[in-house]
Amino acid sequence: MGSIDQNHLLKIEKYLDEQGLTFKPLREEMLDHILSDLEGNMEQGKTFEEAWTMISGAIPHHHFKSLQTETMETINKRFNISKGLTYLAILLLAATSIFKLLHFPGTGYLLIASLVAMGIALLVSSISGIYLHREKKGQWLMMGMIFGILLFITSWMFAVLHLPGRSELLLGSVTILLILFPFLTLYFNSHLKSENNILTYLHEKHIPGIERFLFILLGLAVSLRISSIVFDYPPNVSMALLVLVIFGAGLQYFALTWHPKTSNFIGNNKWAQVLIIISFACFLLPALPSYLSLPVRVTLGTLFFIIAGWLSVRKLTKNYTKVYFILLIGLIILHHIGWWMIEMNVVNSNHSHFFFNLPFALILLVGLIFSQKHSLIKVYLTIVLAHYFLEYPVGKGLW
Amino acid sequence: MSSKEYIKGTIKTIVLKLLAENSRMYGYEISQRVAELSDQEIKLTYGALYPILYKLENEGLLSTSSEIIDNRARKYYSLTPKGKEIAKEKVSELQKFSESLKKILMPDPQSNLSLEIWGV
Repeated sequence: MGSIDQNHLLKIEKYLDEQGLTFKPLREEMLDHILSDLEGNMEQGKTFEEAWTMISGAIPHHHFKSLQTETMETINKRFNISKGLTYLAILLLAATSIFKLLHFPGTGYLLIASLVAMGIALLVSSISGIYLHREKKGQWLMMGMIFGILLFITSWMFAVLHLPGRSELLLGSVTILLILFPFLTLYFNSHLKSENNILTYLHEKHIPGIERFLFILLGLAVSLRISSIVFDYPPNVSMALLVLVIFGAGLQYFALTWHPKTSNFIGNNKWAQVLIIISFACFLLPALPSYLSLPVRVTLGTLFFIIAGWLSVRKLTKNYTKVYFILLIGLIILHHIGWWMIEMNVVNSNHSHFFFNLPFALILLVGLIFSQKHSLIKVYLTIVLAHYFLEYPVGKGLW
Repeated sequence: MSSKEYIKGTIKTIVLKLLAENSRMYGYEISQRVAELSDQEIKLTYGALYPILYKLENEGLLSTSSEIIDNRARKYYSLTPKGKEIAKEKVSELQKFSESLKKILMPDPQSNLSLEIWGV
């Protein structure tokens, strides 16, 4: 007989990880349930090993994975309107791509309709989430974040409609996000206050949906971009989609750092916190072409890819996985340094094929496929791939 | 007793009933209480209990709060005002259903009598 010590705790946490339990609120409840069960058995005179053998033996294989799936489905059933609107946005985007491929008129309006559906979906899911979880904190912070994202989406509608005021909207969006994101990152990581916060709760709940949405959006954007290269027509729509992927995946990347247990990412490491804030600024500021010159934007963009790439792999534990992703991210960093040199006219743009070529695109795609178990690397590679096709063969700076 | 198939339709009411009697409870506590009250006949698995708790929370019938106990987060569930109303309704419905079921399952004294007439 004894009590639960740190080694026991680590053993149970490892077990839950192996079972594929990633949804943090459920994972914590399962951890508490199992530990309470173990304590109950140990109080009756069993050793930890005896109690653990009995408890784990009664849990069927894949039980937690299916429990997680069922729980997520249960939770997401509530958000029917926003789910429907998200599907509508995807359908409209697919229609936009097909219209563009067939040179039909009205692609701009379809794209706007899709952006409107996306914005409303975001608003509905946030408001209903806040309403249903009124007891959770951080509601105003969440509304601020949503407002910043909606301003960004609106700025793209203005761009499609050639309306004045797009730069101001972008400036508003970037300013709001630049104030809120670093604050939230420091707040969640320094004080471990992500518990009971509506933003982290809803984000965590929607991670699988966000990842699916980004993946579909990336697929559509890349297909359209490749066809615009092959059939040589203006890539406006695919560019807009790629920018949306970069924006969405970028925010997703930084939002993942709010969940240190899931991403095993920052924790209380001050340097990592400073680096994540710097890389966030490097990510967002290039979205302001009216306020920052091209060399500044390209330099910031390159810095983002270097810092975020390093941060993505620093906590990997398995040796062979770590080596593979370090090599891949090293290659990506080299690619972005090459891109920077071309944009800064250090290297002649005739040499762009060294950095923008089919084998490299395939390496990125394979990397994305292999990164499915590593949320942070997966979303980083999504940004890299979208940016690669945005810049191909050589574009005009990030965004 | 293979209670699994019977539990599925009643677990929501069981959870609501327990929470109506206790100001707040956590997952393990609910499962232990159910086992205790049913003389260990009903054992709620993780897969049976937690999706229901999340569902009830999403429907606005339960509110949650977290506390750090022994260096780990513990999530407590309690009934919201709406949950309290629904709990009364559901418990009353299940009791009526249980009464009806009893009538069907209990041996009918008259049928025994008729068998006696026939000498059985």
